[in-house]
Amino acid sequence: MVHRKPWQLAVSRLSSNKGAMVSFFIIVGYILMALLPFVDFVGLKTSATLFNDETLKNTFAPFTLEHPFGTDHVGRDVFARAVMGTQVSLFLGFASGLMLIPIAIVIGAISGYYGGWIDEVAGYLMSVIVAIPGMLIILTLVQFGGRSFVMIAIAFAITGWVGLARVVRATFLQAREYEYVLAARALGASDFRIIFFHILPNVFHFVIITFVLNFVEVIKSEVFLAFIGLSVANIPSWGTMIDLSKQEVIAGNWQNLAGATVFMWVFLAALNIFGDGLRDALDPKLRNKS
Amino acid sequence: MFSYLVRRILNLIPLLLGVILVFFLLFNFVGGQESFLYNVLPAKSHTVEQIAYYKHKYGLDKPLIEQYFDLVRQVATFDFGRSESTKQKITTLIARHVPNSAILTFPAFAMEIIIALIIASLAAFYRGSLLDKSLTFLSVVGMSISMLVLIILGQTLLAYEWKLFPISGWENGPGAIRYLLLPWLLWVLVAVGYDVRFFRTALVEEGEKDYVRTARAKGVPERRIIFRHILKNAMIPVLTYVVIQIPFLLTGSILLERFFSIPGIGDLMVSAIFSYDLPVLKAVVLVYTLFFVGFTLVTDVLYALVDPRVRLN
Repeated sequence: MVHRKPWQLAVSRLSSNKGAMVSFFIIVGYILMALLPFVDFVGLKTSATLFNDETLKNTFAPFTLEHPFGTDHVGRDVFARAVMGTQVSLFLGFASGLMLIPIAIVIGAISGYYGGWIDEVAGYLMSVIVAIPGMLIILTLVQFGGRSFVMIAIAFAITGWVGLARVVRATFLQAREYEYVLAARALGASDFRIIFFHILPNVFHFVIITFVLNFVEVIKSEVFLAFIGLSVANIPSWGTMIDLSKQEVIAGNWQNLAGATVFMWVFLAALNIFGDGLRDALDPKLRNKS
Repeated sequence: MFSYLVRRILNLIPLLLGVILVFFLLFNFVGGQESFLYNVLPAKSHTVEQIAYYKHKYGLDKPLIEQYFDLVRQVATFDFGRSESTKQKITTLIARHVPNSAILTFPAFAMEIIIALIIASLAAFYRGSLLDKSLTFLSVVGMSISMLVLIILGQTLLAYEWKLFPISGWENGPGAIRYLLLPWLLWVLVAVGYDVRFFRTALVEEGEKDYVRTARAKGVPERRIIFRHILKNAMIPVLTYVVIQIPFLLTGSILLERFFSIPGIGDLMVSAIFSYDLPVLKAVVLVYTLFFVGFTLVTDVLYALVDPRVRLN
């Protein structure tokens, strides 16, 4: 049999998982969709944000071909707004993930690799952060620190790194005793090299899975923040749409709720299924379990 | 055992001091204190003298280190003063709100765990079948829907259109059950997807162990294997998972409490944020942390009682 690298095996396992592949293409579709407003494709951005005397005559329009999800209370196209909302969700997911992962890796790796008092301090820091309700840190930072999506992403990163850091730490704690690490050290490899090139690849699958599933958490929390009234004004997001709809559905205006829910549900389901597929493909211990 | 207990309790002190410090930094350096004063005071008292007077009243003119120890003292004596917006004693406020949150979350949580266990057992028992696949699919469907959407749908359709439940409201005593039915139902719907998946994995993992194969090989009836062997042993991860969630139940559900006007602690917290009621917010966070830390301690001690190896670490 031809020798195959681990990542090739993982890719082949993943591509034989139909649900995960469909989800993967849905996710790629969402990423492309988020780029659409930048080129202002068929006036998407205009119909999502602009309202004037003309559009005000056509508020809460029913679902038609021209407006697949109807129009909202000032006559803006709900479908276009939902597409714009993709941008916010993806930004929050990427930004918080890209901040959270380096924090988790550095703190987890250093505390697991060096142990001793460094480990004590890091462990203390983690248990303090876990003991405070995360949503409260997020609410406080966003309420007092400024309502911007950057601040929301920072808040998610600050509260979200502990889980991954604990896994990284546990792996490093074990790995530093292994022979391959001893061998690397005997050959004169620096700590930096051992941490990032020898041990870190062992937790790489966990990092990817955390990154994917973090999107789900962040997107759901954005809805919560919008409900509390802590979203960013004038930028369409799924959270603000759902929040607006809570007064509208009583009067039978389902446009905002339907648009945002369909967009969000498809994306989250795809992320969940793809995340599961990744876990099955990347973690050999879990194979055949599902 | 005794020395383990003492060690664990002593460990709580630096943890609590750390939590208070994070809270303190959050409100001092992200700019909470100043905006707190400007938002709490009526516009006509925004004069220099008034601000200085209130700064003095809340002890905000003291050196930071002294302010920090003021906070520590408040937690230690459990005296948080009075609410800024309603002037009630905060300890009374909290004592009144916590039971309402508990009555919302505990029954819902218990029902949800039982339902999830039944569904997960079905899925694990018929593993790989169409039933298993549709149950797993339905749990992903449930996990991917926003709680807010479910609440809006439930309140609009079940309560407003079909009049099956009251839309919202609250009364003290047994009359509250009428108002709690719909929130309970929604809680179960929101949480059941996650738990089914977790329990199913736990059951499947247990079912693959060697002793199960041995039991099958010697001809133990399948039903007996499921109930006496697998389910019983799978209870260990399941119970751990359940126990971890209990401290979060006391804080209730902010969304459910706000939507259904249930006067619980989540509702108190959000009102405090909206009205910049810093003393109440402070108290709620610290009480939450006390719950969390205290409960973790109790479970750890129970584990240590059951498993002597834990005590050595």
